[in-house]
Amino acid sequence: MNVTIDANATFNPLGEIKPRYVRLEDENHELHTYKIENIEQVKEEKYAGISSFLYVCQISVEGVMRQIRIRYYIASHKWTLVD
Amino acid sequence: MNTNKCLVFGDGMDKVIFHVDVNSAFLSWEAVYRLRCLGETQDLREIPSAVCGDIQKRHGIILAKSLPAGKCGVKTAETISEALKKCPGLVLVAPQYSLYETSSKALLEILKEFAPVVEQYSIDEAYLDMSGTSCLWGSPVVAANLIKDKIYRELGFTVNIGVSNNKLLAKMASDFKKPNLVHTLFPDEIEKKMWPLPVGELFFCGRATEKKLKSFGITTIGELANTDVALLRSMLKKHGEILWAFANGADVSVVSSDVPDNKGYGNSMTVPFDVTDTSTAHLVLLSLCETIGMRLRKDGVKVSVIAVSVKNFALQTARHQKTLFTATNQTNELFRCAALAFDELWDGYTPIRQLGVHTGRVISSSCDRQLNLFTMDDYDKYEKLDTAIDKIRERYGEESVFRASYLNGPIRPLNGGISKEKFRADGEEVYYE
Repeated sequence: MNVTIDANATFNPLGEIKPRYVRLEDENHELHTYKIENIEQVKEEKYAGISSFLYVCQISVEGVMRQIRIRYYIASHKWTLVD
Repeated sequence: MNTNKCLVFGDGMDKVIFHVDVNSAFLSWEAVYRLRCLGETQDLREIPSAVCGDIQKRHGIILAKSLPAGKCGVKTAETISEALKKCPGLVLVAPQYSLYETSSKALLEILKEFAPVVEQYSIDEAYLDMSGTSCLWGSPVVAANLIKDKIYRELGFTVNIGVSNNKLLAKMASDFKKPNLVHTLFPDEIEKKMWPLPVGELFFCGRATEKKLKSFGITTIGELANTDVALLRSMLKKHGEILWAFANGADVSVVSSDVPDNKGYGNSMTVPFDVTDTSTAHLVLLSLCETIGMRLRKDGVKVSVIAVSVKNFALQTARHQKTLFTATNQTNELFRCAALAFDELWDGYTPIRQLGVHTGRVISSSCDRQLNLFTMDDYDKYEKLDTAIDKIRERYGEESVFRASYLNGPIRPLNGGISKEKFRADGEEVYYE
């Protein structure tokens, strides 16, 4: 299931959106804020006509780099964590 | 050399028409939404599943089904209970019309990238005039496959595309084997691909016509095509002539992206319970007039013929109409006229299941109104009221302002068109107090 998350992003003069931080819930239901270390890939998708940007990025969890995929839905302005 | 000729002279006289048809549209769109947006792992298209209306509100029919469901015998438009008998494990999902509109819009956008003229036929079908595009996208079958694959790659759902040189044949072709296929049906292929089919599958041939033709021994499209046109004309008049032409693959209609002006505005609703008294019926009629009035005012038109249709519990329909002296788009006037027509039509006791209000003789609002000496002041007052209410509803929602007679009542204040519940994904019911 894709879960909606808190995110911080920057918008540049060209209208490009870059996620900077995400807040994720762990197994103990505690919230942790992670800095997006780098964005590997951005892909624009439009499944069923619903436009979104898929970001493949890396965050540092307890010293280990982990890859996460987050999606920004343009119409609803929501960020979701993709499994 | 060849390319230059193409660019200057076009492809010659041969028309190329495509008919694009989404496979199990509502179901497919819901499946893609669940897979891609909700992150579910089950693809509805791979299991017996169907989109259906409300089972409690007497709207419960199958709107769309998956291919596995079709194999179980489930048919579109049959009731949910009938479908569940044939397929007890059938997964049922509620409709989401806003999702369908979004998917349809995205589909049309892709189609417009390929074809110079696109005619939207329904929410999930469109005709494309691809004549002269072979220099851009290749030959017809190549182009059709390009379009089909792009739609699947970008939007996630599959379509069938029928290819021919007229609309009728293209539409018949897209209905061949599904899903995700391109089929051709050019005139020289009619005998092989279309004539063996049962006559009921011909476009424009409904169940009643099929029965009539069968009684004359005509069971396949081929038999129909080879029947004497004079005989068909005597049997079915103009309709017979048209069917004969279609059976022979003749269709001169053009792919046109112009949307014709609405000839009439109407709304109807099936009431969740049988209506047995005038005041409730009037409430329903008023709620329908509210939505019709809004649509008329939005499009800047007025109407002068108002008809009321009543369907009783035995599903028999009766209609009665009245003509106004002056065209109007005011909710009040529409309702007064509809109520009058209804009172004249209904016997006062037969339980009613469905009510409808239909309007005709549409003219532009800018036409001057012939003022009636006795209602002059009221007219201005009601016009201002209607405009004010429209503005409030546009900003705060359709039911933000409504007449007091609907408070705590069984009828919603605005009815007609697509019921508002279907716009929400969770299908939650909201009552106004």
